[in-house]
Amino acid sequence: VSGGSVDQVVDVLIVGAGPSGSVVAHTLASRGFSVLCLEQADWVDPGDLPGSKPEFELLTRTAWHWEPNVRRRPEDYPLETSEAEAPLSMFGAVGGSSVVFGAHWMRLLPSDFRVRTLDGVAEDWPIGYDDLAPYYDRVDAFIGVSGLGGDPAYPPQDFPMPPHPLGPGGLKMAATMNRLGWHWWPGTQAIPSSSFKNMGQCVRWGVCERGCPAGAKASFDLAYWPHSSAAGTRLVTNARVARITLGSNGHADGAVWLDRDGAEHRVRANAVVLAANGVGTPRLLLMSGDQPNGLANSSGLVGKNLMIHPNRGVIGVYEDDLESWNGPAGQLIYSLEFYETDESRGFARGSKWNLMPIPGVLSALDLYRDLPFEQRWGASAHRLSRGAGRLLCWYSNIDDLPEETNQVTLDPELTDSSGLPAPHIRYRISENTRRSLDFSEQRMTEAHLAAGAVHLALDPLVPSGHLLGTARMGHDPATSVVDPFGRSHDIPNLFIVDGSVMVTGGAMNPTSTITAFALRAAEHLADTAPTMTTMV
Amino acid sequence: VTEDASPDVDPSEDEALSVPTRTLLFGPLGSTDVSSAVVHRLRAAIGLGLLAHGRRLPREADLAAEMGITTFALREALATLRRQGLLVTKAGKYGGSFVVHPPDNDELERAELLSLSSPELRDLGDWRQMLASHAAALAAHRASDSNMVTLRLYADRVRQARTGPEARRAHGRFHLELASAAQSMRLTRAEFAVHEQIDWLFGLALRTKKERVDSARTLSTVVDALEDQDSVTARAAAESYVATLVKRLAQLRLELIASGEPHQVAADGSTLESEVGSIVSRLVTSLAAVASDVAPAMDGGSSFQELRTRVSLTSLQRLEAFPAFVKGAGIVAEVGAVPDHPYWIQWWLKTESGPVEDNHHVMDPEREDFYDYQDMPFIAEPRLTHVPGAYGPYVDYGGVDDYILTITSPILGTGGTFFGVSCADIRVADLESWLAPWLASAAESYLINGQGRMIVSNAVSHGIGDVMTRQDGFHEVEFPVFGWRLLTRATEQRSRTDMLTTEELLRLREVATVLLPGDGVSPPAGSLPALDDLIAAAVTAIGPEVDLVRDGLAALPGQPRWDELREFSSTHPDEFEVISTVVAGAYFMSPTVLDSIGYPHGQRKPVRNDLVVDELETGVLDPVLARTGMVRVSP
Repeated sequence: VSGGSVDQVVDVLIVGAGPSGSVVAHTLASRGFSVLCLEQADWVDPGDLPGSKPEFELLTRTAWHWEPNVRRRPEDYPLETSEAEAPLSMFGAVGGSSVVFGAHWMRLLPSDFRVRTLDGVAEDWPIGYDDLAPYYDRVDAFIGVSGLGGDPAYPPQDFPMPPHPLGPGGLKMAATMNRLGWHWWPGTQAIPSSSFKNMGQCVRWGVCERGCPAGAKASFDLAYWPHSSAAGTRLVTNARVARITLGSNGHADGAVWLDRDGAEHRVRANAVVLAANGVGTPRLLLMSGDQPNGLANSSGLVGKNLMIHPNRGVIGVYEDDLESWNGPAGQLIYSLEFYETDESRGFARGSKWNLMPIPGVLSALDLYRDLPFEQRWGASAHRLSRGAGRLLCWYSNIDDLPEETNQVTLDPELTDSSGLPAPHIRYRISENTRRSLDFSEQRMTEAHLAAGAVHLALDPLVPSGHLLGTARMGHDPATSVVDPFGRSHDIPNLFIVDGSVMVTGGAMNPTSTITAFALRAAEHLADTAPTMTTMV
Repeated sequence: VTEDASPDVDPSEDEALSVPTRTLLFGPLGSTDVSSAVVHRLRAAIGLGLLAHGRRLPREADLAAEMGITTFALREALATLRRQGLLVTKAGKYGGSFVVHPPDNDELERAELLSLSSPELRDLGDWRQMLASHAAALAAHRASDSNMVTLRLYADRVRQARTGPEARRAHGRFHLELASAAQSMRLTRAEFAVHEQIDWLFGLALRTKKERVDSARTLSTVVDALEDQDSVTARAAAESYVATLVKRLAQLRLELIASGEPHQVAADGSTLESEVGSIVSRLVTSLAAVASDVAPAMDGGSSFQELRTRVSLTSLQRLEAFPAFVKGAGIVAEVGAVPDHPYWIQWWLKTESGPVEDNHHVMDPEREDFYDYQDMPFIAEPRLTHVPGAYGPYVDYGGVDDYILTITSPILGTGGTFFGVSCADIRVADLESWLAPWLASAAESYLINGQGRMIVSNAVSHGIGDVMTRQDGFHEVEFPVFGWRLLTRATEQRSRTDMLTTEELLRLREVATVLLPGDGVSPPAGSLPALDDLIAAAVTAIGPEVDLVRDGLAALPGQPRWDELREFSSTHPDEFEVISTVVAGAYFMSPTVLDSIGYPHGQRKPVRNDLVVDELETGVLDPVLARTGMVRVSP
């Protein structure tokens, strides 16, 4: 697709072709709006995905690493992370980071919207579970979620497709959780257990988080884009938005973007939707408008309150063959036993756990990196390699509460391949989060030991792609960036539809919530378009 | 004998038998051992898939009549086949004898391949090649259009086969059809027989998709040539097709030998060249030590008893220091050098329970079976040259059907008097087995003796003792003490990845062989034929981190061994991590390695949709379902 001409005007410009952008694109194009989506990266060719290749494990250490700073592809922007106490993951592509997400498809709990009221911490959301519930259902139905309804930890919910099998590892841990009296539930995932629309049935490569080589995961390049394009959205890839522009009336009127050769293009739009998630969206707002405050920032909160769900993993090696090369990974089971606040634990809120199989032989060897040379190599290496297929990992997403000092700003020096400033991430692990991490680690360790693990290894901080909270929603323009439908308080034809709007993060994998919100926001935009002065 | 279950008929393979095939299968038998001929014929037919799984054989009386044998002989044959699990017999109205195809695992094949000596494999390969090429040449002039159609069908089945055994069956059918296209009953019969001799092993040479596709392509070339009535091309293609399969078997045989027992020595990062060099020097050193120990006793006018005691003590002590593949060693005295014993040999055989004295050589010149060694090269030459040497391979004088090498070192008195030789015998098969890890991973190589005769090789084109003429394109290293030369086909010096030099890749190979020496279960890294390619793929996969690899290699000592790598891992931890990750990554990419640890690879594994129902029906979810009050009321 070639670049846009100077004079083109579209109804809606969307920045970012990830999950939220693709949902908005589909929704609005289906309602007859002319929609243009600009994506800084490109389509990922499924043939390039590493998961089915023999050198898979090595590729994930470099070219397919979760962290853009390691990957060093021109289409990703680098992150200045010297002041970040936990690693971030991000992936530029049509479909965004969902190309490499684990597709754990978890709704927030009702309590997540009311943490101030219930637990006296952070802020309540301006909307509640019931506001999002119908949108959760509709996105689930659209992308084909596999899961089992009836989890007592949730309000009633059900899914379009049956859950995936637990497998020997999931069953082993499920029985253990029963013995411990702890909650668990078969994993809910945006991975089709039977073929669904254009997606194939899961064939259990076990590499979901590195891109599904079988096209059997609802990454949004597959689950939404074909439909968004069919509905008439025009998607321009390799189009890096440099700034959102304002018209004389103070409304957004489009964007300036750079193609891969550095040539500048101008696009005009009657409404602008930002869908670049918790780092990309504040970065773009800060790059636009008047410096140093940027655009839509009368509250001063753009970029603040970054939440990332610091994630800790405890990996167990077992004696029995757990077929941990089998996907989906995906989550075999999840647990919400420690999700809610329990004051006796010494911290507020909690964590969501998911149990995942770990494929690969190098993964097994990696667990013993701390051993001396003799115990890692020679005959030892061969012995340790037989741990492959016997690995289970409990990971816990921590509900890190918002803090203004955890913040995305523009780095004065580091730039992306187009010369635009890279985001500078400041993230401190709070005392509350640290306690929650340590508590989870102890409980996960107990679960493994109770299940008979013969060796344990710690993954203290797993790179997190849950980038939330940096343009929070609310009713009050002084304490929030957007309204409960994602509309900027300052600029009425500018919407934010990604994880930036979340007031608190909960502890669930957020894409389900982000896309439900995006669908709701898109329909609101469509419904209110007649009242928008910029809409022709 | 009755069986409860009769196998299900597999219709895909159960084709109506053509008249010639039926004649071939069930036609009159000429053999004297009728029953075993029936067994052979039916076993081959089952192996070829001519008789499909679940097929019912004709009634015994009819079959016996058709084959021209007695019912008794037929029953005996069928009983044998039942014992071998190839038939089940079911009583009753719908009973009879049903064909059972053995499961498609290749354990029997591997065991058989391992039991073949390299000359045997070569011999079978030659015979197989002759049959195929002759049939192809004849068929070029005689094949009918329908032969072509069938041949293409089977070539295609080789291509589309999903397993080695499936491809092997299609291969067998192709060649049967080829022989029948040659319109030679004798060739067809021979084709049929060769299945049991070697063809049934070819599944091992058709294990990978690539092998099958490549082989199918050559088979198509054969058919193309038949259509053009081009007998020269047909012959050449058929020949090269078989040669490729046999070559793969030879390679696999070496790998099997290499992985069969722990080869600790393969772990030190050495090459074939350095290993042969080290064998030569170990042999020379050990033999020279024995010679210099016994020389004073032979020089000093000791009595025979004293001499014998001295020699025994020394030899027994030294025997331990010999390489493990030396099976016998001792002293052969110069004629007349020992008091009262004009001919004297003191010889030990290494056995599991320790050295055993071996007195089988007859030292009495009066006897007819006297072992007159005086003019044998292993002593006649050192008598003149006074230097160590190697003799053989020759077929053992004891009449054992084995090729033997004899290595000697002269026993010299203070004045340079020649007292005989200290001496070791090596079975070539043992040397080959010892060298297997290196042979398996080296390019086409031949170790030849001073007369240009072959000792060991990883190629099947020459046998032990064959004279090798000098050939172009071979890199040559000489081991002057023994006059041995190692010829290695010079591989193109193209680098497999442009990210590292050939030298650097070689260094990674050395690291791999040390870090991953293999154990009883997994093969030594150095024995993987594709190791260099795997390392290149691993290096390519880690992309930018290659800089760290390069820096690390520059800091590594030459020929890194265990202690040096351990040291390196503490002095250069980052470099060591990435280097060890690359070599481990390469090693665990190998399907052979993954198979050895039971780790599946390259598979889509769609799951049975109702498996989760079975799982949940166990009641595992009940305790969770019983939970209440988990959802907090959230106003």
